[in-house]
Amino acid sequence: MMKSNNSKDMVSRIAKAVAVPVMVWAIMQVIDMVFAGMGVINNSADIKTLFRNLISSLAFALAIGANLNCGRMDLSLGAQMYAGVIFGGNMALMLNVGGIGVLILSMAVGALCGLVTGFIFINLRILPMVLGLGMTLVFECICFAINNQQGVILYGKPGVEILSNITFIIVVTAAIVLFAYYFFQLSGYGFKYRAIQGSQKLASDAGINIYSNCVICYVIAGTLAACAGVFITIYQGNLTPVLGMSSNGRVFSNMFPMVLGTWIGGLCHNREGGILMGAVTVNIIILGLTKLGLSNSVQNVIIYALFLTFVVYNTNRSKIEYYKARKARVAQARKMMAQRAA
Amino acid sequence: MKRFGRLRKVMAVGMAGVLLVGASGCSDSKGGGQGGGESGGQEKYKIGIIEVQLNDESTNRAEWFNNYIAPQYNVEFMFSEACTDLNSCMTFIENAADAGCDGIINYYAVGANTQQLVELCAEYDMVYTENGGRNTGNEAVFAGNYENFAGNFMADQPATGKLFKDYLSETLDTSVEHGFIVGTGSAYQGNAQQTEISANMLGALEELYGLKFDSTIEELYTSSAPVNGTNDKGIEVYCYPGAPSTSGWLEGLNAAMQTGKYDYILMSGNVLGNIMTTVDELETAMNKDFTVIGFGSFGEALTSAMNSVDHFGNQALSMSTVKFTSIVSTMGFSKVYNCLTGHRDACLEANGEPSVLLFRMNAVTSPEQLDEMGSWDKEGKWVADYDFVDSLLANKTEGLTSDKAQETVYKMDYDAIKARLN
Repeated sequence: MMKSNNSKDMVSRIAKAVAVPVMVWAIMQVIDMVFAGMGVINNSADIKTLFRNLISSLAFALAIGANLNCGRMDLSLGAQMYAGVIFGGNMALMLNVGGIGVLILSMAVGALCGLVTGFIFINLRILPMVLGLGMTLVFECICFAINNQQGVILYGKPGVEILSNITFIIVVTAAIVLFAYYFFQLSGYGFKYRAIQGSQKLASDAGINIYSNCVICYVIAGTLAACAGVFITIYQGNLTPVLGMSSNGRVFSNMFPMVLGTWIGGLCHNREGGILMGAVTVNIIILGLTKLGLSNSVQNVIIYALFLTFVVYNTNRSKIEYYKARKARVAQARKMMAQRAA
Repeated sequence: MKRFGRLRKVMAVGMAGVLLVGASGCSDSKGGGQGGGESGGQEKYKIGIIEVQLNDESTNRAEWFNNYIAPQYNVEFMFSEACTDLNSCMTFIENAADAGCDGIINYYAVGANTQQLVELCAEYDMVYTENGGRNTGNEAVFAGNYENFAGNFMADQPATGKLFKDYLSETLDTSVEHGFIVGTGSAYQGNAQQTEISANMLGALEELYGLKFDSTIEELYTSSAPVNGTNDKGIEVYCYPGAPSTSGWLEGLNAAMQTGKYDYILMSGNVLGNIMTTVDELETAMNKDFTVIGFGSFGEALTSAMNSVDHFGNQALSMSTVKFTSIVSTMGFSKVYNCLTGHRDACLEANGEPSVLLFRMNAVTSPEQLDEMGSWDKEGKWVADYDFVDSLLANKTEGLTSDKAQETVYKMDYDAIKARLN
């Protein structure tokens, strides 16, 4: 009986998590069919595009969440992504180790960037956002200075085709979600991480090393950001370094899947699974909008307006529930008064 | 506590190191070139060069200036790092003045900034030229009789656009139904090169099909939103603005190609390295052959695109354009050098206003041609050799005028270069 209830509960959670992207897909499908005469996903090229964008959104959203859930907003993640892919990618191309080598070395350099940022944070205790801005400038300049400002070019390079292979992308996506789920929910590190998330002071008093936990968070975030960058680069063909904190755009553009994913995660009691569904949802919206032939600025207005609307709703959810409960109480009181009067 | 203090010291040293590396990436100058020995008793000059970005082209340019030109003409060069705004240009000019520079060649040309930079150079008694045209933003400088302004130099943009027009005229079979995506890039923001290429591509379609667009060509390429080029012949033409750096641009191009209406992708911006993966994937997914024609520059992206074979066994990139850095550099150098040696007249039009020297780009249509051109303009095979440079210097070529200089530059075309270097 207990087992049956657990199974039902799990099915219900999965259904809630999947319902959001499915509903969004259905809406976008109708809009695209009516206005553009084609669906959101029409052929294998669309599937490839969706999966490639999905893995980059997912990895970036998880990277942002790793620190943000503990109250640290790391704005240098975009620059860490550039540093990871430009250094790691060029090293892999020089060593001729193919697409998997590009991915691994980029993630390794991303991890190193995260380590440097985290180490500086715990020692200098600069506000995370301020440190993030400073580190962004440093990483951007370093990326700019190497390889004659060319960044990294993956288009036409032998052995990197695997990064566009759907099976490979699905395997990496599954690996990222499972790793993040195990690491943040099941492992000893995750237990401490969630304790710190609850109260850093209490966690520290309880003997948890909040500093090492923090550095590990930064390392994981850097690794995931670089992973996202590799799939962005293989789609765009190259990654050119940017200056003037332009890399921050990557952080902000992936806030939507992160916030939406956290909300879906609340519905299905699985944050990592929720972020996966959040990334799927946002990428379906983006793919659907591109089919309409709108200009990039109009698409961005729609996406960010949806993001803002969602944030407003999410922030005021408790108020809505409060007003609903109040309304119910008032109705009940009136009913009782009416009954008494009768 | 003591251990923590030591850790802080280590961190401080580490941070200083990181900042030093970062700062070195953003420093204003990367040192001078090879001064070279005295060359025939010529007076020594020093020229500052403002770079807009560091890439294959700027590295190539620095090699030509430092290793080839400096020793021959007894000139020293000082290069900036990437200057992407007026402030960084002004800072570099001030540093160059302190370092004893006599002239500035600016590759970050923004018409609205020109007057301010010319006046700043005048304060330090430096000659100024920039890689740009004459436009409403800098009209006052051309008309203002600034003694230190040597005029400008730039690509002959109508000629660049015509390369695309000619190629379409030669290769397009109008008896077969075709649809066209014209990537208008930043033409809507006034980018001269992309404007000319877009206008010429659309003009070529008008001419070849004898069609008339419902809107004017200018309205089509200045639109910041994708727009259908509806016309009286019913030919599918889709003008797609923007650049790959914009979120959703590639996906939008992908969606347009998926409509199945278009099989020619004509790109005015340098986006070949960005779009070829999408094109290849769609060819496979839709079993449709796309022909890609686009603006390019010597580098890995162009080489890869030109040497790749598509799903149907065709050359992935059908045609692109390239330029030879040393020819462009000669134009800038000759402008400054002529002024420094007292021959400013050679930089002026017949009406006494500073001239704009133009160079023409070349079309490349096959990997063999690209391979051949790619081997040029390097150490030992400079396209602009001493004879060419001398022909643009008034102290070496008697009676040099602006018109004659322009004629000389135009003569240096693909056939002339091939005849000399091969």
